Amino acid sequence: MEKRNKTYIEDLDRGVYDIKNEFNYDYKSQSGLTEDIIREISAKKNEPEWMLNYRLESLKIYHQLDVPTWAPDISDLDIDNIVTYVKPKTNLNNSWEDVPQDIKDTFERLGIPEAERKSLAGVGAQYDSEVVYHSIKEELVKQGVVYTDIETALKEYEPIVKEYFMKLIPNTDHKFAALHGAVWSGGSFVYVPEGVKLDIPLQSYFRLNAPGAGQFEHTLIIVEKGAYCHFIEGCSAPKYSVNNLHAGAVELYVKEGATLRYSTIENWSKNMYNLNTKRSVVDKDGTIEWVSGSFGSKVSMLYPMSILRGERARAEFTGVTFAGKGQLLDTGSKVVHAAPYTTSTVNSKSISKSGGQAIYRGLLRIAPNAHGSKSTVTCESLMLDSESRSDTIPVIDIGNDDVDLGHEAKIGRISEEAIFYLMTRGISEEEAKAMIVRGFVEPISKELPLEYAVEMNNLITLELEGTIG
Amino acid sequence: MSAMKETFNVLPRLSFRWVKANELLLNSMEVALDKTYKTHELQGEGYQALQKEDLPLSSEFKGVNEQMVAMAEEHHNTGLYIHVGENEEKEIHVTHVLDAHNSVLIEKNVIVLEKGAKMNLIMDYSSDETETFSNILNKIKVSEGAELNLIKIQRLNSFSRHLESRFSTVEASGKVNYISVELGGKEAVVNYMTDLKGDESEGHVKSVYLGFGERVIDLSHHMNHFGKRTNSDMIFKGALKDKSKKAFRGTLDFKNGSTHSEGNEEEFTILLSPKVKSYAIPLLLCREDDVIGNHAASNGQIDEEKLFYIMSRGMSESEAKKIIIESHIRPIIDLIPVESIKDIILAAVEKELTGE
Repeated sequence: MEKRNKTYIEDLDRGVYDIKNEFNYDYKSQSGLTEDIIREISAKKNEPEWMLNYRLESLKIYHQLDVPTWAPDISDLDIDNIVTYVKPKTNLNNSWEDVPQDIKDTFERLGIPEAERKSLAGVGAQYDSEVVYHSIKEELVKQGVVYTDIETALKEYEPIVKEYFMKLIPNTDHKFAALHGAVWSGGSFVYVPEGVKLDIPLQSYFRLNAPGAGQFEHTLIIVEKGAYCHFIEGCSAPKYSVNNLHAGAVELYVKEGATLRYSTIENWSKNMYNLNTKRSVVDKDGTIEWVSGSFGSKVSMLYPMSILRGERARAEFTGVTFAGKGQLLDTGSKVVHAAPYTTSTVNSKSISKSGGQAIYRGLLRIAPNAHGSKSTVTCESLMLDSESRSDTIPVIDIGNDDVDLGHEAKIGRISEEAIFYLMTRGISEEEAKAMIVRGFVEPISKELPLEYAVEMNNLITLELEGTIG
Repeated sequence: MSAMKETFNVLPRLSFRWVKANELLLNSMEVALDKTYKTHELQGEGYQALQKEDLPLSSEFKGVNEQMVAMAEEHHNTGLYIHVGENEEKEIHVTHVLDAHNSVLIEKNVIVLEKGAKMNLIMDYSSDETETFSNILNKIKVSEGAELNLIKIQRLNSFSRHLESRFSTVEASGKVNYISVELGGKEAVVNYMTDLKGDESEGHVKSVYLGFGERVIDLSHHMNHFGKRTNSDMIFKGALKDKSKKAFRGTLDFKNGSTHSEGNEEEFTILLSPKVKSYAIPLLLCREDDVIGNHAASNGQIDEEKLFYIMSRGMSESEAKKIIIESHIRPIIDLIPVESIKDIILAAVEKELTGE
């Protein structure tokens, strides 16, 4: 009874995600991190002086900061072996036809242009370090919506970029924020003017094709008073035998009465160090909604943070993390209630199997002035075998008496009765298990746009395949 | 101006540094290691002053911190060896009253329950108005089928520092029931680790606390599930007022092989002033799929409706609040199997609530 039989298939076929293109590039930097490389990246991009100075300052800070003491072991990651900048053999295109064939095929396989035709208001596609395609529906442009790559924004909307760029995630925040500040490249810029409501989503897709490279895209979204926007971010990379690094930064500014929904499915290959920083600040009566799916990667450290700085601001976080063989996914959510009557809801689910490690690391802070605040945090973990590991490390920090807080966490396994019950209905054991896992993440998949929900279910099926027992 | 700080109750798994919740920092204290301490006033039989008897500690156990554990090991000025023979039953009361002549208590106790033994052990710490220091190390072994009820009452004055490190191992079908009542001290720092080694062993830790004035309460409990079908629960209940600070660090740790085990931890804090600080850090560490672990924490104000209802019966607001706090912690106190101790605790709670 104590020992159950299990069979595993070593490396799973990740299908379309693993198809790699020949490594073609227009320009790539030397591997490693030096002042010269940074000056070169900045020169290639024709950046204003202040940006170059910011990059150089960030490099200094990067060398001064240590790797966090609490963090997963990343000693295997050697920045000297990482190519920080890879410019693909194309410029930014506004027409899909102009994108080079191999890059186009990659995105076609991932379903990007198809999704655009069907259900999106705008699409951006980044390949290695640069955005290769951007488009936005004409009627949105007329309403004053800006959706472009951040390099273009830096030229055309320099004052706005200068006002917001790395103000929420300063380069002093942590070592990888400093790294990002030094070598950032690509990413999206979204500006939604006051009162404009985008009823269909915008989507950016980030694909890292180059082996041994880093992707450091910067996403900056400003949603003005009373506006609404849904932004979808997708990430993937094929597997190489060398380590890749992703250290993006996402800065979201939600103004008074505005709502921003930010959905992500990160599906990195298992040679990827995903050290990503995402943060939002929410003004009076504003709402931030995070939907986050973390799959893939060798090591992930990702804790989207919501700073509720205006009265009655709201944050919602819904996340799922799936750690398989050889993966350490350290994810969670941080919420800081910094104004009265703010509310937050965190709902996190994690699954670990075949020796994978899923760690929920969370923070809930209620500042002394945030009276009348409410928060509910729920963490659930599912372990599929006893080789795996699942830890929950939540910190709850309360600084005044007028709060209403509930925190709950659960850990457990798939109940044998449930499997047995489904099997009596003629369902195979494997399918029964998959059904239960899909049911476990259902509250998250129902928050995702349809295509992404389907993708997540496929990823789960892919991850569960070959596990019998 | 800034005094040297000493680190206590470091979390077994660290979190973000800027939150400053990974450990407790207190001003370093110069402790007079040569101070003598009077002998215990004991009621009951079957104890003796600690000689050479000892129990091993697990390498995972750090106590409140390693220096304090080492201090108790090497420099204890009092201590007991309590041995309960096979199938024996015992009840022992250990009472400490700290005063000007006995202001430094460094205590090391070794407690062994043989197979099938049962013991009610009551440890009561109180003081006069002298500033005192107490550092206690308890090493406990509960053998197969044995059961230990350990009730601790800490009602020291609000100038005193109180530290307790407690390491227990529980063998097959053994059981520990810990009830700790932390009512006093300027600083009360507690660190328990319980190793549920044997199959079907059980660990139950229940704690109540009252934080008034500028009191600092830091409670760390680490429950290690090693054996199969082991069972644990931790329940913490208390109230915070004025500028008091509390950290609850509860860790449920399911080791590989602890199949069919279950652990639950719950924390409920009533917050009574806008200046309080309350940390809750309930860790859940898991290396085994076939287990059930739950934790829940809730913090909030006194239920206005309850308050209104009680006041409508002719009670003052402070009287009504007192009743609500008392009824919040009462379920834990009611679990104490020794009636006389219940009365002592209820009187101390009453005193603490009235003297606010």
